[in-house]
Amino acid sequence: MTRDDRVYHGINSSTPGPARLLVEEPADGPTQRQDITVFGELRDGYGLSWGHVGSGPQRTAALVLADALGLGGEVTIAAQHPLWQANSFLARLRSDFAGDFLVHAAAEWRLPRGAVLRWVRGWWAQFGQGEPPQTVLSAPAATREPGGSLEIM
Amino acid sequence: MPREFYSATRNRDKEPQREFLKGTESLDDNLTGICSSALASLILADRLGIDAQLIDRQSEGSVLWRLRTAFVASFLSWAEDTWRLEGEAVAEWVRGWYVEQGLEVPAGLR
Repeated sequence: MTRDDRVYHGINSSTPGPARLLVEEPADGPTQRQDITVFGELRDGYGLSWGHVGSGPQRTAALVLADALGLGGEVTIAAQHPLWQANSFLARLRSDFAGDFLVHAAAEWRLPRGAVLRWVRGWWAQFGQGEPPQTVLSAPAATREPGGSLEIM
Repeated sequence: MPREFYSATRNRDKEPQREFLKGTESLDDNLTGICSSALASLILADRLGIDAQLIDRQSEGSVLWRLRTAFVASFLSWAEDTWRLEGEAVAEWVRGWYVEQGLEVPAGLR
């Protein structure tokens, strides 16, 4: 397994404090997830949130998309980066991703990178111009063999 | 047009049970104990405008079988006890899967 195969894990607990967005190793089930390897945490300087309409889901979407698409380390505060400025192509991508996955999200959710990239590919087929980025074309597999190993389709 | 969504809840204090809803309308009143693959069939069939049993009857390795398997692996395998999935998200993901496979996107996809 490579770190290309990773899962975004949003946690917005009922206790005070900002929501967290972890990047985790894929695991097959709830038991395996109890001792999961956390690759890192995605943050911006303003706090993340979801389950409502507003800037929080937009910032969260920017972080997930920037990481999944490999937009580069320079996107350190993803939502404020010029890439996401209003009227840009990527701003529409971010807005649609937030609407599809984050505006109505439950307090806790998991979304594998491959699912994000497959959604981007579908979105790109409708609204994009030319071929999507290489990261989208080389999305991690969407299926697991019965033994649990990942298969590149 | 209001956004459509699929949602489910599972109560671990009771026997395995799921209440599965599309928007505020239950697709089927007999879904308690439903497995992930059957749930995937219902959701995908709803987006594709086909009968879920058509997906369930597919042989291993067929297009719809692979689509359902990928959908489970992408979404339902990771579902928490309460989850909600937008219809548009499902549609974009399905479109992306067909494009990735080099297949024509079904005309009935919505």
